[in-house]
Amino acid sequence: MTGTAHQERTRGLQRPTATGSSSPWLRAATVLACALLGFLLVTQLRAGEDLGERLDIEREQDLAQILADLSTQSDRLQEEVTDLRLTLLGFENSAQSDELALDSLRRRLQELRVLAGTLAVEGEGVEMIVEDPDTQVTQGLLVDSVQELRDAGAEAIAVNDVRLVASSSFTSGNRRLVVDGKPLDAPYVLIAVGPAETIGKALAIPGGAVDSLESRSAVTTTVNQLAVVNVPARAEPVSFVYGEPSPADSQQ
Amino acid sequence: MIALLALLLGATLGLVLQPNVPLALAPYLPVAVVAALDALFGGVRARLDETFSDRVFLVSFLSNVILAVFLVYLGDQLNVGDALETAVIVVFGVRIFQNLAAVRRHVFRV
Repeated sequence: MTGTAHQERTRGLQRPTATGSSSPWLRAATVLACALLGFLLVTQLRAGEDLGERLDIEREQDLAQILADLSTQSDRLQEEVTDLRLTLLGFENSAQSDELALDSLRRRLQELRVLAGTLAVEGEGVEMIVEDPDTQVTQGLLVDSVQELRDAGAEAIAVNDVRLVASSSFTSGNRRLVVDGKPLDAPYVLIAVGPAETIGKALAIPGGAVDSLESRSAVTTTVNQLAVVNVPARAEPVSFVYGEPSPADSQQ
Repeated sequence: MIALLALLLGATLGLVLQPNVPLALAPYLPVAVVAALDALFGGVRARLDETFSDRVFLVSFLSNVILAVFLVYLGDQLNVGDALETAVIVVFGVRIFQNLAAVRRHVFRV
């Protein structure tokens, strides 16, 4: 009995299809099975491509696991969001303080430019006109006047359109006054940006600049307090030949 | 050769139709596919051994698939579906490897 069964199986196995022992129906069934396999394979590969579809077919404990995983991931991402928000806040703060520092530096630069005379300045101020038909005004008187203006709070001063800066000097040559190498002719016009009223009072005090000037013969002065005066920029910047910033200061 | 064409035809059909797996059958499809793959590679091996028979192939195909699905179904009922599914896939996996090894020996003679 077993022998026959074995024989049967062996025979079935040993007969190659090529010999034509199979019926066409069996062959068709084989082909159909192959097609079915391909169909199932693709279907299975396609299934579970998206999470929603996969969730439908998962078992309960797997679902719990997936849920736990997603919760952990969500927590982590939430933490990351918080961290990034904090970082962003920090950057915004530092950007703001950078902006403030930049603003104050810009203001400082502006001030230094005004002091150095590289910028024209306009604003409230006084105009002082000194008539001197007999050329009685000396450089000393002019220096005193400028000193009086500065003392009263003038921020920028020009004499006959020559901007006065830290290195300005008054000299005389050929019986003419010279400021920073440019000859001055009467009338001398001093323009100062600053508190007009204070400057006006300071010039008018007894024994002050106006008194000293007018003590010379034929000298007359007029002081006008104006809402807007213009002080021009220096024609060429001051250049330093001998001096350099000392190393200790330049490092700041 | 016709079988290979049929395989490709079935795959194309699956791609074109994009069938949705019924929910009730979804857990059994993977094992069914693995079981059918085992039958397929067994058939390839038999073909190379020149012992291929349509009848044997059909019987092994159907019995593999039905047995595998039944085992997983049983496992689900006994609440060990996951473990049994793994067991079935491991067994068929090993058999696929053996069949492929035989095929390799035929093709490369090593």
